[in-house]
Amino acid sequence: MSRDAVFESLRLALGRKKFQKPSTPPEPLLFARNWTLEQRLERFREAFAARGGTLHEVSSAEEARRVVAEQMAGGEAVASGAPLLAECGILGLAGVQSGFADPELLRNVCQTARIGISSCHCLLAESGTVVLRFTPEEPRSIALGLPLSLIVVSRRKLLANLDELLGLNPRNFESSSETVLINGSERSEIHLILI
Amino acid sequence: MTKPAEIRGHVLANLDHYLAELEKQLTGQGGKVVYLSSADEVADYIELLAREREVRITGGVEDIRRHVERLEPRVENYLQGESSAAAEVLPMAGGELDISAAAFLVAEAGAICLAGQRAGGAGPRIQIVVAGIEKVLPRMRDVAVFLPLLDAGDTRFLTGPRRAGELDGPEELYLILLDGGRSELLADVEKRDLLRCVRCGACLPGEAGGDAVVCPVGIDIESLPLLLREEAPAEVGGWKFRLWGFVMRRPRLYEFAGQMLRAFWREEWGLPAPPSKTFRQSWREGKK
Repeated sequence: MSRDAVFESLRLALGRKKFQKPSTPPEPLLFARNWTLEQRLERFREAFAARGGTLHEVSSAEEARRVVAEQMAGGEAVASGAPLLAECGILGLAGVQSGFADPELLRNVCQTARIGISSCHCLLAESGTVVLRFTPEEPRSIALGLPLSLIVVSRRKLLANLDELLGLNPRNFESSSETVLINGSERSEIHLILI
Repeated sequence: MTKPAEIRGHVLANLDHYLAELEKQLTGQGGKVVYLSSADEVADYIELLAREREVRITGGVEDIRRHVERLEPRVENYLQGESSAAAEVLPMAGGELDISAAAFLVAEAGAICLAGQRAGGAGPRIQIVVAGIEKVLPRMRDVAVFLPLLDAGDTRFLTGPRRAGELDGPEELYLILLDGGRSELLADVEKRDLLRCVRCGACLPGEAGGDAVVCPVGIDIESLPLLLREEAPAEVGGWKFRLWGFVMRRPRLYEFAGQMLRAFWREEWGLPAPPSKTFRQSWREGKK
C-alpha cells in the first residue's frame, strides 16, 4: 500500500478534503505545581529513593568532585563532555577518560569501563525521574551503558513533574536525537550528585 | 467525555492531517517514514532492508512477521485479550538492527515515544519502529495525559537518527506506519472509537480487579464484545466454515469426503488417526 493510498482511504473514511486543516485540538489538563525548591527537593528525595537510586546532596562543585572521586575509589571511569563536569573539575580527576571524538574508541573504552560519569537534562520531583538528553557532549554509551552511573546535576534542573517537562517548551525535544526518562535503576546502579 | 477521550477523538477525526505533520517533522529531523498495509509487508520490507544494509538477521521473514504482529496487534485483537509485546525486543543481528513498537507518536515534534523499553548502551545501527497509524497525538503536552496511563517505567522519545557530531545512537531511524485494517475500522462509524485505544490494559482480564471497568479514552467496554462478536463468524470462519457447511448439507458428498480423508491420511499431520470405519459404515453393518 502506498503512502497516497493510505491518505486517500483515510480521507474517504473521514470525509475530509486534501490539505483540510483540523479544528483546534482540545487542551490537555496539565497539573502545574507551584512548589518551592525545598518542596521539590523533598518530593524528589522520596521518589528517587523509592526507585532504587542513591542521592548525594552537595553544596559546591568541590564537594561534587569529592563524591565522584570517592565512588571511583582509585579506579577508572569514562566521562561525557558536559560543561558542568568540567566546571566541577571532574574531568581532571585521575583515572577519568573523556573528550572522545572517535566513535570506535568510545565503543572500545565503554566495553571495559565500569563507571560512567555524565550530567542530565533535568529531574522530575514528583516521580523521581532522571531525564537524559543525548547530544554530541552526552553520548548514550556513557550515560546509560555502564554498570555504575554517576550523574552530576544542579538543583536548578529540578522540575515538578512530567506535565512541566512536556508542557513548558516542547520544541526543545527536537534539539537532540533522543530524550530518555529513567524511572528505575534495575539496569545499573545510579548515583545522583545534586549540587 | 473525558479529556483523553476528547483528544483521541479529535486525532481520529483529523488523522490524515496529523500523520502528514508527523511525517514532515520526522523526515526533517533525518528519520524515514514508510506506510505499509500488513505485518507481511512489514516483514518483507525489513528483510529487504537488512539485506541491502548487509545486516544478518537471525530467523527469517516469518520470525519478523510474528514479532511485528505481537508488537502491534490489531486493536480488536488487543481488546479481546491478545497481549501486546511493545516492550519486547527481538534480538537480532548482534545489536545491529532493532525493531520496537511505539506507544505514541507526536506530530508537532516528529517524536516517537517508546514506553517500557529499557534504554541503554550505544543503541543499534538501524532503529526500526513499527506503529499503528492511530498512535499519533498532536502535541508533546498531550503525552503528559496519556503516558501515566501506561505505568511503563522507562520512556524514550526518539526524534531522529544520531545528529552530526554524535558518537553513538542509530545511524538510521525508520518509522513504519502500519494500516493493518485500521483505515477500514475508521470508516466504520460504530467501531471507529475502538481506535482511541492506547493499550493501557485497564479493560484486560486480571487488570480491573473485579471492579467496573472505566476506559480512560471512553471506549464502551461493556458493549464491545457484542460488537466484535457480530463480525466473528465472517472473520474467524471465512471460506473454511462455508465449505464445511456446504459439505455437511450434502450427505453423499460428506461420505465421499470422509473416504478421501481416510485414503490420504498422513501420520505426519500429528493428529489422531480417524477410525477405520465411519459411523455410517458401522451403522449399516450393524443393521445387516
